[in-house]
Amino acid sequence: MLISISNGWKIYSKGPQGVIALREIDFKVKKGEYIAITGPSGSGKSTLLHILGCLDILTEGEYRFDGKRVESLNERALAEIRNKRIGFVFQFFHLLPRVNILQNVGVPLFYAGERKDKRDKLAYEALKKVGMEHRALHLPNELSGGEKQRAAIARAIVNDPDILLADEPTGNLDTKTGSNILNLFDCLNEEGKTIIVASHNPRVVKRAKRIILLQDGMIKKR
Amino acid sequence: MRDFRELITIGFNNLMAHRLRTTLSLIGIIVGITAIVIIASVGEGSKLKIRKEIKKWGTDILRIFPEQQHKESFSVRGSEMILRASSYGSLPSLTEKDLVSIRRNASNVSSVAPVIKSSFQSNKQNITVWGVDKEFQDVAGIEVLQGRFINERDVKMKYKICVVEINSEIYRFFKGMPKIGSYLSLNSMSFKIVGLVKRKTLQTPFIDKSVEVYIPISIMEKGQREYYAKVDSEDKLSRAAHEIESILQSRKLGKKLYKARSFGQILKMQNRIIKIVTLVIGGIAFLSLLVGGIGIMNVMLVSVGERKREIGIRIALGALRKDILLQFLIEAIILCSAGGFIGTIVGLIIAWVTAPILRVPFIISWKVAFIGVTFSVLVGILSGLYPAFKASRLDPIESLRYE
Repeated sequence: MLISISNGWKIYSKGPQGVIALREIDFKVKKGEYIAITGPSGSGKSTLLHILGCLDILTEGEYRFDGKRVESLNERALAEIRNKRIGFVFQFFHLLPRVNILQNVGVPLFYAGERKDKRDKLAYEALKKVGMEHRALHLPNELSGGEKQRAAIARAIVNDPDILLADEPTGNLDTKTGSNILNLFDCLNEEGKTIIVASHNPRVVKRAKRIILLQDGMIKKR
Repeated sequence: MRDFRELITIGFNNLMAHRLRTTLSLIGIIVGITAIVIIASVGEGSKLKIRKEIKKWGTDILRIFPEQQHKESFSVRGSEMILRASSYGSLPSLTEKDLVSIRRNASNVSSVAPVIKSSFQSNKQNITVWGVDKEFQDVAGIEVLQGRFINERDVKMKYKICVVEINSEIYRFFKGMPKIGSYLSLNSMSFKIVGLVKRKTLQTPFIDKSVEVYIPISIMEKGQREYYAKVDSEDKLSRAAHEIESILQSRKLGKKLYKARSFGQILKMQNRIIKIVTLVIGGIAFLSLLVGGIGIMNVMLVSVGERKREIGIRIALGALRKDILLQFLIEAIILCSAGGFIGTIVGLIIAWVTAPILRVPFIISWKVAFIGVTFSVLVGILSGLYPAFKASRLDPIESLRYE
């Protein structure tokens, strides 16, 4: 099992009583799955994605990533999981504005300690995989929305992670471009990558092989 | 270990993205470092000059002077120290017997010479007339080039003869090389030139351009006597000074009326004053650097605020908190180092321009460059540490949401 959460709670200590973002979450993901997490705004999709991505930890319960209990890992181990085992794709692409696409894609490799020549080589290969090699030396603001998201996907896969986490990956794209991005996800899943997408867009959700419906922080339907 | 070159490139690019802000924040550091470099450079130049002057005067020579006149015998005017020969007081001169007693009893003293010095101007030329006896030749390291130096008989018989020192001023004054046997007119008295000499020590400190003439001391009726003693070696200076003071004390009915000090010891006191002045001005310069550092800290804090999302992205992609800290710290250090580099260059240029005005030699010392660079890097670290720490403690989720 790649991912397993049992009786997971996330409570933010805001106000006297706190805000419950997730409750009683039991969730397992096998390698190679394609899962969509859906639900209305405020249902806890992004929070769950952040916990899965080791950017946040559960207040209660247990999250195991590839058998390791995430709550017990130190900062370095968590950073290593984020860097080498997980790829993030965000709604607003989150490319660094002042460096070119090749350098943007190479950022995870930089934190993995790779040398510049190797970084450039691997980043170029990742860009080629998403059909963006011709834009390698452009700055992000010279790219269209779809191109930016392709570049962001290239960055997510450059370290060859086990799992891709995407938060509303088509939320900022038109239908056709969004569809192209989803096709790319399909391809990556076919190659064996585990994909978890958080979205409330039915077109995105129906591409997944398994759907998790979240409501008020709880899983309502699997 | 991350690729430092890459971190420097990232830092440089981020700074260049806000050129005006970067330039403005640099100015504070440039001003501070410039001031520190000027002070350090001029200070070093002054020390070098003092060292040279001590050598010119002679490192193995003691001056004997009345106790209470000590502090008045040198004064500071501008950057120069002026020897005031006119400020000797009411104490009676040492007698010939006193001198003989020193010569006989002070084991570390090789010779003692009385001197009466008088300076005046003639045809816009400074002329210094030294009334001396034969002992002066040894004390001042006089080398006879032609003819002879003043002897015992000249003093005893009050012969109107003189010895001229060969230096750069002499050619202009005599319109060529003076001739032995020719006459020189001083204060309407005519003196026959009997020797041409060169003097190794007892050069009047901080005054270079003067025609120096020696005449028998017995001819000089007015003027205060000064006494100079040559010590066997430099390391016996304090022992010799003590000997002279004790001998004179026993001859003056146990009263300690005279002091013997080397020029180096006297200059050391002046040096201490220069040090204090340098420290005070240096402190003010350091304050301006501090203000510059606060400016850098402000700019870095603004930068952290603006780049919250970037911080979130980097953490999501595998950066450690120390990577974020290092990135912002390096940016602050780049900023301050650039300011330090420019400040050091500007400071050295200003020091180079002002050195002739202040009459100190201009020197580019590693010490000065080291001070400039170290201070700027130090300010970079201190001013960048808090913003960098703040950046490294940001919540990645909050940062990713930052618009």
